[in-house]
Amino acid sequence: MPLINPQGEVTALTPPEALDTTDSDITTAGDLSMIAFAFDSPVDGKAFSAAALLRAEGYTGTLVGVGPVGLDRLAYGFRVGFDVLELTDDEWQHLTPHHLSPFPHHYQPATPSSQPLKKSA
Amino acid sequence: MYKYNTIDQAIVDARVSQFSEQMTRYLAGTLPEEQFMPLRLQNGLYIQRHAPMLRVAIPYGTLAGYQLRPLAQVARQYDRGYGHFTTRQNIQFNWLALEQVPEVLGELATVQMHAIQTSGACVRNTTTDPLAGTVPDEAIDPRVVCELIRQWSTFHPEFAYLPRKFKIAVVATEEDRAAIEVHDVGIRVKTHAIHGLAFDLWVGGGLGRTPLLGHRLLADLPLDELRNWLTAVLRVYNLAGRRDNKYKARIKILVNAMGVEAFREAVTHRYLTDHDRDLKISPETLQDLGDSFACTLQPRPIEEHRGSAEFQRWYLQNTKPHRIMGYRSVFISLKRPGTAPGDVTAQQMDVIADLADQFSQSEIRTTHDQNLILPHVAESDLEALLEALSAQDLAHPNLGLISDSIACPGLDFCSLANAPSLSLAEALHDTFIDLDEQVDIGPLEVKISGCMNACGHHHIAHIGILGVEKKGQPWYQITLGGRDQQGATLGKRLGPAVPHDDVLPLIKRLIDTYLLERQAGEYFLGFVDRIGVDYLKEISYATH
Repeated sequence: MPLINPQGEVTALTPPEALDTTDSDITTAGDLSMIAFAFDSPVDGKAFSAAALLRAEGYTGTLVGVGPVGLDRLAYGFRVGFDVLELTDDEWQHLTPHHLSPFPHHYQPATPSSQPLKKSA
Repeated sequence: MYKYNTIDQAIVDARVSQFSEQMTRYLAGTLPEEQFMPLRLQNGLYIQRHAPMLRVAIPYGTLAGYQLRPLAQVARQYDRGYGHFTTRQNIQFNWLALEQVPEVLGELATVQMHAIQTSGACVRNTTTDPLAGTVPDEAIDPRVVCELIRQWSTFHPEFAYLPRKFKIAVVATEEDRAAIEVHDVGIRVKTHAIHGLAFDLWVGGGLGRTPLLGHRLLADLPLDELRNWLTAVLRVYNLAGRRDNKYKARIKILVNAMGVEAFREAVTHRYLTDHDRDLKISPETLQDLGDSFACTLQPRPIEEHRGSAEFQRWYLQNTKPHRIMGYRSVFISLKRPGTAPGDVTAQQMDVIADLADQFSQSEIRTTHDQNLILPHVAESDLEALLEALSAQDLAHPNLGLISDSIACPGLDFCSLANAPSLSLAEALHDTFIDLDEQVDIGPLEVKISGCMNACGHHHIAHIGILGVEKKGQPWYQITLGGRDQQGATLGKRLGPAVPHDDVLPLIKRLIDTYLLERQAGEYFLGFVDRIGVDYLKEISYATH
C-alpha cells in the first residue's frame, strides 16, 4: 500500500515492521534511523503523541505511520512530525491537496521533522 | 467579547469545506462508516434515536445577539422550530437531515459559529463561570484563558484522537461556578505574588459511570506556562490512557491506575523535557485578549425598585448583582412548565437576541444549568426587560429553586438512555406548582440523568435522579447531598430504585420532612448534611 510524504507523493521507502508504540523514549530510539508506529484503528491516535514526543526530544530520523491512518488524518500526522504515512490504494486514488493541508492557518507551533524524503521513481 | 479575526474566520471557513467534502465521500460510499464516525463526531454530529443531532459550540458560554439569530434561523428552517441548550453551555438541534448539515454549518460560519470538537475523543469546548466578567473578585476574566485554550486545542494535531473525550473547565474566583473538580482538567486562575497570575491544576475528575472528584495535581504554576502544562498532561494521557475499553478510557481512570504521585511525576517530567517556548503565553497576548473581553460599562445610580409584586419576585429570584454599580445580571429560566429544560423556540431566540442588543451590550451567556443570562442590564431597564421577557414566557422566576432542574434528553431522544428524564422534570413543575412553596423550600438543585453516562450530572445534585432499566422498565435511583461548588461532593444513594411514578411522591416526602424538621435558616443541602442519608431513607421508603 502506498506510503505518502507530506507533498502527497508516494515514497520509495520500505518500512520496517511496526514497532511497539509503548516505548517512545529518545534514550532508546535515538540511535535508530527509522521508526515506524502503527495506528491500530481509525480512532487510535496514540502514535500522534509518540511521534510528537520524539520530535520534541530532538529525534531526527525518519518517522513512519502505518495502519488505518486515513486521508483525513494525514495533515495531523505530518504536523506532529511523521515523514511518511500509509494509505490504502483506494485512498491514494482519492487524495487531493486539500487532505494534505485542510487549513490555511494553525494555532499550534509546527513540529520539526526530518529531511524530506524523495518520491519514488 | 472576543471577535474572530481573519485567521479564526479562515479556519472556521476551511472547516466547513473540509466537512462538506467528508460528507460527500461518506454519502458516495467512498468513506466507510468506521472512518466517518470520528469525523462527524468531531463536528458535533450524532446519529440519534429519531434523526441526526447537531451540537453547535458556544465557546465558554458567551454569544452575541448577531450569533443567536442565525441559530434561531437554523431551528426554524432545518429543525422543528426550537433548539436545546445543554449542560456544557452548547446548543443542540435534534431534527436535522444529515445531508443538510454542511449547509447549516456554512450559514453558522458567517457569524463565527461552528461545531468544531463538540463531540468525539478530543478536547471539547472549554466551560467556565457563566458570570465571568460581571463578578467583583476575578483574578482575570476566565474567558481569556478559555479563548487561549480554544485556540490551542482547535485541530491540535497531536490531541484530536485521544483515548476518550476531554473536558476542561476554568474559573478565576474563589467560588467555583464551573465545577472544575468534576472535569478531566480543572483550572483555577488566581493572583500570585511572584508570577502575577498563576493557576492551580486539577486532573482526573468526571461524572459518567465512574464519578470521581479531581485531584489538585499542581498549584501556583505561572499562567504563561498553561499551554506547556496542558500539553504535558495530554501527552501523558494520550500515550498511557487505555484504549481497549471505552469505559476505562477517561483520564480519571489513568490517574487512579497510576496513582496521583506517579501521574504528577510523569506530567512534570514531560513538562521539563518537552518544554516548547513557542507555547509560552506572552503578556501582549494576555493583554489583547483581556481587552477584547473588557466590560466598558459606566457606573450608574442605583435604582430603588418599587415595582409590582411580580417584579419584586423576579428581581430577587432571577437577577444577580453586577460588579459595576447600577447593573444586574438577568437570568432567563428555561425551566417552564410544559417545556423540556433548556428548550427555546426560534421566536424566543430572536427576541432574546433583540433584548441582548437593546439591554445587555449584545451579550448572552449560557449556563451549566441550562438557563441563559443577559449579563449587563442597567437597573433602570429591568422593568422594561421583564415586560418583554414575560410576553415570551421567559420570566419564570424559579432560578435555583426545585423546579429549576436540569435533565438530559433521556429516552425521548437519546439512543443510550435507559429511562425518560424530561417527564420527571415536568413532574417537578406539576408537584410543586406553587412558587411561594418553592421559595419557602429554598435553593435546591435537582438533576436528572436517563442513564449512567450521567449527562444530567445527577451525581453533583442536591437531589440526583438516575434512570436505570429493570426488567425492561425504567426505574430510578435517588442520590442526595451532591454538589459541584467548592468542597464538591458526590451524592449518596438513598436506597433501592423506584418506578417512574413513585419518584415524585418520594421527593415530596423528602421535602416535607425537610420543611418539618429544618432548623432556622437551614437549606435543604445543609439539612441533608446534618441529618444524614440513612435517616432520610427510612422516611422516604416508609410507605413501600
